[in-house]
Amino acid sequence: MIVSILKYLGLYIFVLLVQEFILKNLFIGNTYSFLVQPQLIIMFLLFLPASMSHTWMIFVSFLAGFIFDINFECWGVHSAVSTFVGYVRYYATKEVENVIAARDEENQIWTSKKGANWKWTYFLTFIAIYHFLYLFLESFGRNFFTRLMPAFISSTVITFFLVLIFENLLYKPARN
Amino acid sequence: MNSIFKYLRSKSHVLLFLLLEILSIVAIIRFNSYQSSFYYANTRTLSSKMHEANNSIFDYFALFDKNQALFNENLELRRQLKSNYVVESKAVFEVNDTIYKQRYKYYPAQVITNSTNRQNNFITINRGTSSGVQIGMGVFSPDGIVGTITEVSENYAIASSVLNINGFKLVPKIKELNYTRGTIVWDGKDPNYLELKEINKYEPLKVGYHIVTSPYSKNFPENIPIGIIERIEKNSKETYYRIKVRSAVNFGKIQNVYVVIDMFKDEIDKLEKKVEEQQKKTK
Repeated sequence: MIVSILKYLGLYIFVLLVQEFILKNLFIGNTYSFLVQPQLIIMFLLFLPASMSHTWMIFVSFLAGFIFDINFECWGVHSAVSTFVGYVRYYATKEVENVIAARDEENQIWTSKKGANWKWTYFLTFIAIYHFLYLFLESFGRNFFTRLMPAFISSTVITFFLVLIFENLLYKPARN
Repeated sequence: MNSIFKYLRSKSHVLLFLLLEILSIVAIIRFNSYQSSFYYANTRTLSSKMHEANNSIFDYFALFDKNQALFNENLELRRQLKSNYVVESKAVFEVNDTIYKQRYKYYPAQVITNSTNRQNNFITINRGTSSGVQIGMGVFSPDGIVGTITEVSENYAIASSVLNINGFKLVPKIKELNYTRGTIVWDGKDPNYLELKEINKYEPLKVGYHIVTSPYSKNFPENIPIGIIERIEKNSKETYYRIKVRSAVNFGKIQNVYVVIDMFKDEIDKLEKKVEEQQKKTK
């Protein structure tokens, strides 16, 4: 239990550091920097154990978003979006929790145990939801087609690849 | 009670979700300057629109009171009109020594019953002898003339409407020509149209001219609207025009009226009777 908590705490700190020192500084001052706004916090939310209770899922998601807010001075934006994702994610993963959560031992993340199609759909859907809501709340729908939508698409794609990369770097691929 | 707690416990995740979302949204609006200004600007617009809608609803229900207030105000203004007064000059050779004496007074009244579908239409109003209303007094609405009082009880009076083929005749004035002649009558057909008779076909009449009460319109002050000329027909065999006048008053919608009190009526009537008697004696 404690190992598992520490493992996720480590993952969160990793995400926070990558966001703070790498992603935050990407293309600063560039005209098109608005297109690159990947939010890696979604990786932490996606990797949270499928066996987690709904209430804990919501609370942990909120806490994760809240710390992001404090760190990046977004005051409430990450909290609102991550709480929503935490709430909805439960319904997407509850059917797999019994099958996979039980095997969530060793150094494997449970998502890698599902088929690639499911995993990619799962990643892409929630990454897209997170980025759309995040960008929408950040701008309140201003310049929807000229800035928000391009930023949403590019950031979603970038985050999706980052999540895939980090998943493979941090966790051993599952042995079938 | 237990079942309520049980239910709430079973939905604790939903409650927690809602609570945290509300907290987050409040934080967004409270601590982010852009979101805050956007929120307040939009809620202000929304609230002002809601206020407007709210006011328009309440205004609608207050229409009756406002209408009544305007009606009374209008009455007061009418009382002050110059046309209600006659010049009383005693010093014939002195210049600018004129005094105005009030001739007309008005009583506001409300229409209780009204008909427009008969040959002889009548209007009942809620003023009678107790208010000083007498037979023969003129009745007009804010739009124009309505009729003359034909019957009075203590609290009610019946006016013969302009839409009365037997009971109503009036000498009008064509406002644009300042020409007083002819008679206004109703032909008993369309309640929206009156007939202007006995106007010589050589008069330069035009469609759209306004027909108003004249100084010879008994029981009415001058310049109260009667209608607008809508059609003029000329017949080579007839001396007079056939003129159709669109009534200024929509008789189907009369609600508030004024009863005209001619303060000189008794005096004029007495004089007229005296002349008639003298004429009879000479014959």
